[in-house]
Amino acid sequence: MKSSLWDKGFHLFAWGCSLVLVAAVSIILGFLIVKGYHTLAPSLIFGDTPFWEALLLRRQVFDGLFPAMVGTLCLIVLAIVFAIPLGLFTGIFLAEYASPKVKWLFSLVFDILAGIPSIVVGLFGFSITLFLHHCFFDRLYPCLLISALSLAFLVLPYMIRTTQMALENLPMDVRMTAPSLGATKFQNIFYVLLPASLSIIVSGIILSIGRCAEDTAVIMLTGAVATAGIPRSVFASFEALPFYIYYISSQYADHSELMKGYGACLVLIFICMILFVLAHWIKQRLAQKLLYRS
Amino acid sequence: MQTKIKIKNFGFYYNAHQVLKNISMEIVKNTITAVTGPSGQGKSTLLFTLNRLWETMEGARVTGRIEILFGEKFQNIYDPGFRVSTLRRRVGMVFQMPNPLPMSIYKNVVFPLKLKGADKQADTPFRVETALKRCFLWEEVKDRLNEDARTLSGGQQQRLCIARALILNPEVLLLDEPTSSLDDISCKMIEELLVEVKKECTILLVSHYLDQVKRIADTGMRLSQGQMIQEW
Repeated sequence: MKSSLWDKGFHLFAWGCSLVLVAAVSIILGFLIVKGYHTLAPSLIFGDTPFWEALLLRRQVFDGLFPAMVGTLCLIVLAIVFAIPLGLFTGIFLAEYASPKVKWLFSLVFDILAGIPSIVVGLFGFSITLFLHHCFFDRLYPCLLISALSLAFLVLPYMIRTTQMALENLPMDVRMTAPSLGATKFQNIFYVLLPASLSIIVSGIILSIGRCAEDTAVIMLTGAVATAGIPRSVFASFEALPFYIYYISSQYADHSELMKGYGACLVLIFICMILFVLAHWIKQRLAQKLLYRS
Repeated sequence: MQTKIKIKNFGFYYNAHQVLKNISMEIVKNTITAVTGPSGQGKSTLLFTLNRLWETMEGARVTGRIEILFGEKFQNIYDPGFRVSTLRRRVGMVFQMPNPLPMSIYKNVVFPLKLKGADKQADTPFRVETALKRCFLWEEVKDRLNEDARTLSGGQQQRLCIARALILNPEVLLLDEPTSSLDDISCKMIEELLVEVKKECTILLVSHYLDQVKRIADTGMRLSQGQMIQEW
């Protein structure tokens, strides 16, 4: 009787915790939608500029989110492109090749890296830029490339750890199948272990996309500015949605400007959703290619 | 009666624990040798020593010597110059739980050829068909070769795994309790196919079921406390 009561209490508590979380997410989303939905119009993104002229980069958008959206998208894509190979191969090295001592040491380093606040990573990126500017390239300033590299540095621990965990947690029978058929270690990793852990690795990438999209501290020190227009190259400064949201919420001049900030939040969430769906789609395609058509 | 495998003074250690103690035995070509014994005595480990699969385990080491007759002469399988992938292509293995890869039936059977870089040859479909026929599976799957292998029943999956191990025409086949997760009908089919396969292959079978062992095995061994005792 007592244990059954305990069971029910535990069940209820676990259910309640999940409910609190779902409620919190719903409240945040609901709040943003209520506050920002009426700003959702082409003018929020393109201002007074006709959208086709903005999309074709014929005319610059001054009072819309378009440059910040392009900046954010470039930033996420660049950071993820830098982080994926480095994270993936380091994760593979730790899971499959590293000796226990090396694994312990590297894991410690990556855990410390994961714990570094993003503002410190931003400061580090800024310092590196200053150093490079003074010593080697006097035309290098904080820019999209430095921001993307700093963000990649920030999300690397997630990539490494998820890849490593995904590979290490594969059951022994999956791990032994290909070697028992004559596979080399590389063949086993490439044909069996990576495809089998693909879905967890992609979830790490999705987590990283989210982190790249939302982080403000790193980019405000390494290249994001309030009005830069669309970045002309990776060496140019850029606008980004999280920085725009931070800037507008701390320095808005009137109510309508603050409302635009809410609109920007919705746009940022929407961009993240598109990227998540894209990552899932790539996962499906990649799994099918790796497993069925290769 | 020609000897196929010679195991001499062989020991296996897992960290400080000695699992196999000074085992010496010979296995005759084209026979089924069954190894029985209580759980946790190292029966599966013994199989792992014949294709060096234990080398993926941390903290494991071996002593002694194992020689297998490949062609005309005996090859020390632990010779540093002898490639482990070559060994595993000649010594196939089937595990206790059916382990088809998450790909189509056809791709599963072709997989060892792909690893060898020989999956694009003209006779590949014929080899797949032959391997599946040897395992009495062809009639059941010939119209659904492109379906996911995991949609097959447990018994079919295990026969698929045996077909996959046989496609490279291994000279030795190691089976680790291959019927323990299957129903009686599937067990019977696998027993029948093993009796057929031994005509071209030397089989070492680990099994819990004494009646099964007595039905199909030519030689019965018992592994107890790390030592091998011949029962018949």
